Amino acid sequence: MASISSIFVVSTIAALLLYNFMKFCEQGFLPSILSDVWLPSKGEYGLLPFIAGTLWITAVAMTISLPLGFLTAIFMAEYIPRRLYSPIKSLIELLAGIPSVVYGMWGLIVLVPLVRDHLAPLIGSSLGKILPLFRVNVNTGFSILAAGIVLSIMVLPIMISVSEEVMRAVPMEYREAALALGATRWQTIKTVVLRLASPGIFAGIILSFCRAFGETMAVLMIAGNVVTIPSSLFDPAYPLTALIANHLPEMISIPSYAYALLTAGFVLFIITFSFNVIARLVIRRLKRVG
Amino acid sequence: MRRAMLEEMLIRLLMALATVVVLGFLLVILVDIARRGVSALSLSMLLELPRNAGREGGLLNAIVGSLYISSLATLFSASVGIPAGLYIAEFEGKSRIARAAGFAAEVLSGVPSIIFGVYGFIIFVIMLNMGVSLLAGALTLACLELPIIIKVTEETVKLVPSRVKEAALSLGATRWEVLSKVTVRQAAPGIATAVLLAFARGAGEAAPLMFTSGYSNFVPSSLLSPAANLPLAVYYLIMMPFPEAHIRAFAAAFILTVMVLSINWGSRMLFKRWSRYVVK
Repeated sequence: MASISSIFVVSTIAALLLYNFMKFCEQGFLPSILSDVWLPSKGEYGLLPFIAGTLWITAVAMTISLPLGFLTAIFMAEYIPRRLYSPIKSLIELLAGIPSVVYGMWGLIVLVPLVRDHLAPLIGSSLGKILPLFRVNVNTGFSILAAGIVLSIMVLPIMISVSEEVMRAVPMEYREAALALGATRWQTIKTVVLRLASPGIFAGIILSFCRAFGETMAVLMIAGNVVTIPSSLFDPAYPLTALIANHLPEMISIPSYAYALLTAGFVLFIITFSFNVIARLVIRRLKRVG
Repeated sequence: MRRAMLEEMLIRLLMALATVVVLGFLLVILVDIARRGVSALSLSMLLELPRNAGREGGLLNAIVGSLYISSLATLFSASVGIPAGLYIAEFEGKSRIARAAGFAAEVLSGVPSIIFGVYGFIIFVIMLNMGVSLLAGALTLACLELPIIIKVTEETVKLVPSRVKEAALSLGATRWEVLSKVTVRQAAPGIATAVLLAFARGAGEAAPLMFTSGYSNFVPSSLLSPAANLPLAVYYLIMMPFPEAHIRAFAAAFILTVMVLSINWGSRMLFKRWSRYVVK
């Protein structure tokens, strides 16, 4: 009986969100998902600014965390002196344990002023003149960049631990064979370990993408929550999760508003759900082979 | 050859740099939280209720609320999750339901926490008519903790060596006796870890509780009254425009971080020590 609990919770969540999404479609709002007009009082529920906000922040987070996480994972799996391994491993696990609202607070009091007073003027006056991506349109510090940096730190532990685990699962004999042929350690990693572990590393990247995509508190506090479609790293954004967090209680009074908010939830759920399933299947298959 | 060596040196340098940056982030964040937290902390912060909309007084409401909500949530999810984990581990090969339940738990662990908030708000607060209350918050949090308890229980039960179970069976024990007297005892350290990890995870979450447990400046008097908690205290206080409130947010963040990290760390230590009494 008890074991059905997980099935029950997942299916009721899915059913609840799907039902409201269908209602949303039924009322003819479906095309408006991709509109950029958000005026709930006039019945305009364009979700595009929020989807764009989530995607921008997630993209920035992944761009920062990918090289860092990838290199650290190789170090942890292949190079690290045995004596250092368990202290560094537990430090990285510590990073995973910090509550997201604490990350948010840190971002709010440290990163937001940093972006506003230093990064934005510096980058805006140099790179910003050439590339619109770095242009400073409004400078409050509440920005995609600040939110992206915080999220990148938050997803690092997942990325590192998954990639490290799959690299460690590559049998020693394979490495020994490459080393015996005269390959350097990096050549061995590049041609043997990474090739075998790449699906698992990919899974790790997907899992951290999901984490960034669904994160709420940190982005709610530092992304700025302005309904626009951002065009630069220094623009504020309004991610889907923040939309739900700010407006959920208002839905009780207006049914169509409820459908719109739960459609936002549906988008979040369906994307994290499908990506998670893909990643888990990849990891499961790797474990069976290895 | 020289090029290969050069590449080797370069990649080692980059890796060391990346690792230092990752650890640097951790250090910077922890030092910052500790520095602000320690200077904000005082006895009245721990023992007094907030006054004047959080600008004076302490955090007692949030500390007690957090303990109530997380304990209750962990109690709910452990009483369902531990049997579920046992069942999945024991029957995964034979029962389709067990496999589906294991898969559902994995999926559930990837669901964003705000979705749990939406779910709890609609199901517990509105449909089941609990209102914004301690009970609704704890039930919502229990859903979020469920996959952690199930997965960790399942993993440790799978690690119990089959020869131990076979030995018991060969002595004439029934399957139920083997499960309750051998498997569960062998897996006990792992199950205890699961419970502690779930508690720590629940204690750090703010998004699921925003609309379910609500927030109040008093210690909750019943299951159906709203209850504050530390993560939401951090959020609400830091978003206020008063420096006095910010100081309380720093203190709340510090207490929360210390609590969550020490439970995480403690559960690992406990697991190591207890595991000595387990047949490997």
